Amino acid sequence: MIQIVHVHKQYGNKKAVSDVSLTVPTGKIFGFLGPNGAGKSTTIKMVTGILPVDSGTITVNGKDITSDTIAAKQEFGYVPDSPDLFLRLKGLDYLHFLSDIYGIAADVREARIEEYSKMFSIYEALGDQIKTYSHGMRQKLFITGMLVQQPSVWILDEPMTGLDPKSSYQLKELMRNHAANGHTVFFSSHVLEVVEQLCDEVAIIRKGELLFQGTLTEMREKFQSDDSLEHIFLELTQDA
Amino acid sequence: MHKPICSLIRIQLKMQYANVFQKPSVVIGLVFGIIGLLFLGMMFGGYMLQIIDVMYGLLEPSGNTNVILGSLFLMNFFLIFILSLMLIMNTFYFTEDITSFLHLPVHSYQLLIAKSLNPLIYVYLLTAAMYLPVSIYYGILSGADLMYYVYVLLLFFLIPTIPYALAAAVVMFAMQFVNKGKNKDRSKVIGGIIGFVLIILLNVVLRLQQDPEQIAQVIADSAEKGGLLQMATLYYPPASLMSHILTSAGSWQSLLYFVIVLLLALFAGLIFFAAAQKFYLKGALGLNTGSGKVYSGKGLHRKPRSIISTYRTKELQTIFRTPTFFLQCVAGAFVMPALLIVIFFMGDFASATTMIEGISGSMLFVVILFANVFSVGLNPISIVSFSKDGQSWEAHLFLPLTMRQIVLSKLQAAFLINLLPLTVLFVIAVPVIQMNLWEALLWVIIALFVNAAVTVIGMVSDLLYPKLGWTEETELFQNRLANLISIVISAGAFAFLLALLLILKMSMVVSFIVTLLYISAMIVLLLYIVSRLLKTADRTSLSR
Repeated sequence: MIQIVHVHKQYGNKKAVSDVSLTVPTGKIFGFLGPNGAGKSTTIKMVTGILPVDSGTITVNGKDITSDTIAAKQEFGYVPDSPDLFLRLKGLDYLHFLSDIYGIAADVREARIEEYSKMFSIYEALGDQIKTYSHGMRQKLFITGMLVQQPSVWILDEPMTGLDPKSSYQLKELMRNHAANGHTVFFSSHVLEVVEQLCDEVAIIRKGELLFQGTLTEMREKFQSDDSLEHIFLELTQDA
Repeated sequence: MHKPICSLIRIQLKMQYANVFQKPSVVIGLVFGIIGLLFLGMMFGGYMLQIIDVMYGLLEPSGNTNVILGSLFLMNFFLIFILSLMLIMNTFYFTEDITSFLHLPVHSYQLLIAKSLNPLIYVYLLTAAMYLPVSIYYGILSGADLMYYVYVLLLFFLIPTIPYALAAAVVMFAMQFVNKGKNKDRSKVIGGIIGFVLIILLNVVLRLQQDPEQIAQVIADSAEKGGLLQMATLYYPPASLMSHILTSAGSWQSLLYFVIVLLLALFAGLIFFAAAQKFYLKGALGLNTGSGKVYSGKGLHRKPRSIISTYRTKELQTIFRTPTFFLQCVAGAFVMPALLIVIFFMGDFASATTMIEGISGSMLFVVILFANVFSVGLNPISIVSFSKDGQSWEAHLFLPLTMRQIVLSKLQAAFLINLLPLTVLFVIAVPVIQMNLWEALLWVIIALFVNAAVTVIGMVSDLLYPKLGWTEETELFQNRLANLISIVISAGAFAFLLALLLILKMSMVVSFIVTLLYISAMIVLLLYIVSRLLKTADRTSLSR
């Protein structure tokens, strides 16, 4: 479970996130929506410890990201929106590096690396440096890294970007299974069809403020609309 | 034709120089850089003018003074050609941004003219430093008129064009055969190592031929026999044409020669154009692709490692696999001891041994300490401890890693790399100094302590002036205040210790104990500074 309580973040004079409170429950897939620059990535970066919180608290499975940082970070796996990290490492080096950091046993990691890298069709490229990978392949490698780690909380920033249809389908299935097993999946996306198909709950953020949190049914009830999520989303986030 | 070139030049300028001068650290670095260059220029310029003076005196009676200009143009050609080879290889092929231009609807020659902006700045700076002082001084010595100086200026713009265009054509022709990702890294490393070898050779030549009068005499003798000018004409005809333009400035003949040189420059431009159109894309396309090998499953099973061990391995892998880091920190590590030997002993081990034999007690200790500080102090590995992570630094913030683990792993990796120059120096020093077992042991212990201290100093400097937002690894080694800060702190800290040892003239044993205590205290203090700097820094950019 992720709990975000009265969180603020400001860059100079600009409010990036303003008094956001949000609960991402276990056993559910939670979609985080908002137009570009709404504060999605800033919120996710605060949850993952990349950015410090100006005020408020964030806990992951009850562990505070500010005061109990390392324990909180052990609880989640994160796939960043731009997977351009560790470019000089080979794919396999990266997966071993990650496994060492999260203390994954040798036989377990071996089986997981083989299974998931084959599932996402990157096994054959594991001997190449990440810098030679395409955007989609880098994305798949970072997803594989998270799967090798198998944390209880998954945090994914725009995870479908650059994925081919097969990989996208497989990731969605994995997300469903993970939530069904009583774990947490928190992801941001621009692809509203994916959110509509996949999410048990959504939150919509605009200009740093939370506009809505709840199920899609609750959203339709609240806004008294039978329209698609796309329509409601556009109405909610328009600059009027 | 001009529009795409202008747009490409504009975007290059914006990408590389926009906002650069707004940062105080860059401005301070630049000021120190310019002062350093002026100092070097004055030293080298004075040395050159001394040679010209003697040569002019020797050649004037026989009327062969034009040989001075001929050799100047010939020397310029070779130096610009070599410099251009390295600059062009880097700019046309190895910069990461090159792939973002390849899809644009522009001709290769248009892209490469725009890309030439940066290398040409360096080439013209070299030309200004080499050519202008000598040609102006020659004009003063020969009492030349205004036309001479007009031609000096016109030729200044023409001189680099021919060697630059020819170097570009050679690189473009060669690079079409190394169009694989792996070869790209390899050729970058080989090019860099050739550069280091040239630097050492240049030093050897300068050390062996120190007397300007002797050099002038050699060139003058060769000229008297007609050898030098003939050589210039044979290998590079424009050299003699250019010297004729200046020596007969004002005549119709010189105008004719100037037109010929102009035509030759245009012809070189055509060669550049043809090579760009025919060869460039063959070499540039596919530079960032994988090896093409299918992973065989090797290394899938691996014993788990501790966090510090796995992080240290990651650091070493990054350094060894990134050509710029490899060249600067690993290959460069061998250059410093080599330069130390060239500078102080000129390869004359016999006299070195005699010199060292005369030194004993605390003086020998001082020599050992100085040699170690010098060879390890100039290696930039620890100055890029954090900065080399670039945008990957973000991963350190979401992974469950403590700052202590990160700092320790980075220090260990830098310490291990810094053992390379120390080992090279030790292996050379054992036979030269004819050390006994006790002295060798002393050397090793001091080397390890110096290494640790200099490594932490580098890390402090990197944290004082971090640079995570680079687009090219080479940016980390150019115009960075961190380099200067590290040298100043190392020099200051060890100069104080050396002065203390020299003044107090203690015995070897006491010097040894004082040194170890001094360095240990320094390391503790520096590590405390590192922890403070990390606590107060902005966590995403590490800046304060």
